[in-house]
Amino acid sequence: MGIEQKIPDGILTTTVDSLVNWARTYSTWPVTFGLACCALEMMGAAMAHYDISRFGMEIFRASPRQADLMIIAGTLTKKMAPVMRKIYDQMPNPKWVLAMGACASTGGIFRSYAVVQGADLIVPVDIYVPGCPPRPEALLYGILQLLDKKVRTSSIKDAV
Amino acid sequence: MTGPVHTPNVLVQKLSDLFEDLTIAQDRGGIPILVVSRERYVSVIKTLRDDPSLEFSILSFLCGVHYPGEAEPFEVVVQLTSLNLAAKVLVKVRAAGEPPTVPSLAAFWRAANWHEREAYDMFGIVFDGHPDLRRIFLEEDADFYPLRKEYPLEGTKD
Amino acid sequence: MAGTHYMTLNMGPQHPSTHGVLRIILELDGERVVSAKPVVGYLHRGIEKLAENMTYWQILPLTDRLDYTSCMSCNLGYIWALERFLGIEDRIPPRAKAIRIAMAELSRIGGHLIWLGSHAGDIGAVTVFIYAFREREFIYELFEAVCGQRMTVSYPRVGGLSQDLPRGWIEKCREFCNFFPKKVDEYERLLTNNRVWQARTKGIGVLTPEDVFEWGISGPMARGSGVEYDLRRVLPYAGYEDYDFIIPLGSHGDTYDRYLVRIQEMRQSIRIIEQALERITDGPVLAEIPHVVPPPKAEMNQRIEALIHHFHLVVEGFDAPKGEMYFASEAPKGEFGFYMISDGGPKPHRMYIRVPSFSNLQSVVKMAPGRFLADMVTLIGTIDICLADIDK
Repeated sequence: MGIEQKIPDGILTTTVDSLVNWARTYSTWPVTFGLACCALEMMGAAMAHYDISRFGMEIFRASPRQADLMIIAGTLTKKMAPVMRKIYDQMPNPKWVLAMGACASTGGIFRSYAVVQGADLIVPVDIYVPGCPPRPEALLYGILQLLDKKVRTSSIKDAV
Repeated sequence: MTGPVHTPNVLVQKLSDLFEDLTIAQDRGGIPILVVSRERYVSVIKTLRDDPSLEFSILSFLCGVHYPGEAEPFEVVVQLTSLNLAAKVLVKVRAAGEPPTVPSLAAFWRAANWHEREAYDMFGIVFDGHPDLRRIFLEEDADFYPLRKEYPLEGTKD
Repeated sequence: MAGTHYMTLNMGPQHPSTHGVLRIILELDGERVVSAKPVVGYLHRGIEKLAENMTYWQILPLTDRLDYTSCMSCNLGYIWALERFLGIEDRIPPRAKAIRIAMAELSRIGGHLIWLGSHAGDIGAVTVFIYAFREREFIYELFEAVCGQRMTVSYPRVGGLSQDLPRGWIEKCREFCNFFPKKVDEYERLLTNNRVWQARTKGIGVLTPEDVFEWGISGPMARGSGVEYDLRRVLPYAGYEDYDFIIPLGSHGDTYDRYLVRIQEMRQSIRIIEQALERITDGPVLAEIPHVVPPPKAEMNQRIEALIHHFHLVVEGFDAPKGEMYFASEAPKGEFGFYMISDGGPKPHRMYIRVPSFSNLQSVVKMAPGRFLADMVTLIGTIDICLADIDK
């Protein structure tokens, strides 16, 4: 979205903006990035009981090039950190990151030589969902907060 | 079978008869422990595995232990299980030299392959004769052995 | 003449079918795998080093994070090992013993359901994935009712259990035992005689009994090849010798047999749970062993000695006797054991955790060559790995 950044706000651009935001927000596709135990609760959130697809997260894309949300579900170790950065870089803009669980947020109970003390040391994180592991409802709450954040972001002016 | 065929004491007697020059201790659960020298290590393991009256054919694990302050601070512990006898046995051997070295079991028993790599990765114990001794958990170029007692829990860098 | 060389393909560590952060470096000759080299360690968190710096009580929540598909089994494996080490296994109250067996088997069913869901889902039977998680939710509700946590439960304690069962739990568990076999029938209707399933699993990943001993394999992988290695039968512990159940064994050692073995194990687990529920007698769930078990809360609020005792146990931990010991239990994935060495203090000198998936995953080096690339997914699924288990 290049030239639109130079056009001043008008009724046409704000309507297009809202439309694009709405479409983008309610069809966020996460990339499969389950690392550890939180991945099971993430899968639980995606399954029939909690059903993440009612929020538009129908499919978890295996290829980061087709995804716009990275849910870091599990402990990030120092060996995995460059891989995670690579996956993050391969995701096209706009992209968001959700740190699920205590390990992704701050290193969790693993204060050791092999664990990165928080995924935000490697990638910028938008939403932190605490818990060990967070219940699927907690994850869904975090996702809804993220969707709120997304829908308020102007796609045209603040395009990342 | 529905329970141990040999009670630990019977097994200890059997092992004492077979390996006359080894003292056989028992762990707190009753499992016999054979402490062997490096020279006899491979032959004892092979006997335990191949002797038809024993057949300790399952290699459960091989791990390293660090006893800092002792003359030979690194020890390798191997645990074998016999389905016929419904019994387990532990074999312990000390590593010597710098780097601490022990003969490799992976050369003839592939179950030990990754376990020896793990002991090498965590302690720096070198397994003489291992077909592919390289690190398994940490990065290939890591320069520390985390489970050694002098290495701090939270690491040294960053 | 130009030479040929094989294509190197990297699978993972971020991959939907590797069940975690497993990386496999494949060499391919067209569609055929020439060699497969697993690279692990992407989830190595230093649990053994952490355990050397924690008291025995504090290590319990770490064990949850080992095989996270069956956290209760890992907790119980640790507690059983620790109780044998401390020499207090005979003093556990019968109520606690029976409840622990029921919990262990519920955890086994939970672990096998994850295996079934992800294995079938990766091969293409996505419906089974969704169905398996539906049943897992019921087990999660049972666990949540006893201790408040669905997955990483940390429910047992040294000397018994952290708290008693709530009212109505036994009836709810019986309800589960009544409807679950019909769900297993449903999975079998979808898969067992399905031609596509059979084509994808029969003859794939064959392991002979000699391979089982050569590669140190345990659990359903060994039993699928006909090796009757189940620690609940070979070296019984925790009261399993009094329970009546069959150990299912396969004959061909391929993926299809391992599938049948695990399905049957789920049925046998229901049988054990029903027997355990009968044996839940009245009584306490925590033994009275002053130096490792804290006093009851009511007493703590009234007597200063009890408060100090509790304080000491929590802050400093109890001193374990000097010595070493190895104990293994039959976790859903195989032999799960603890080799612990104590120097007489409150923290272990060494806590080596023998995890089943570590040894089992080595066998992929044997099973993969000659198979198609698509079979790699089948092989990873049939080994039933859990990376936190492997990488500790």
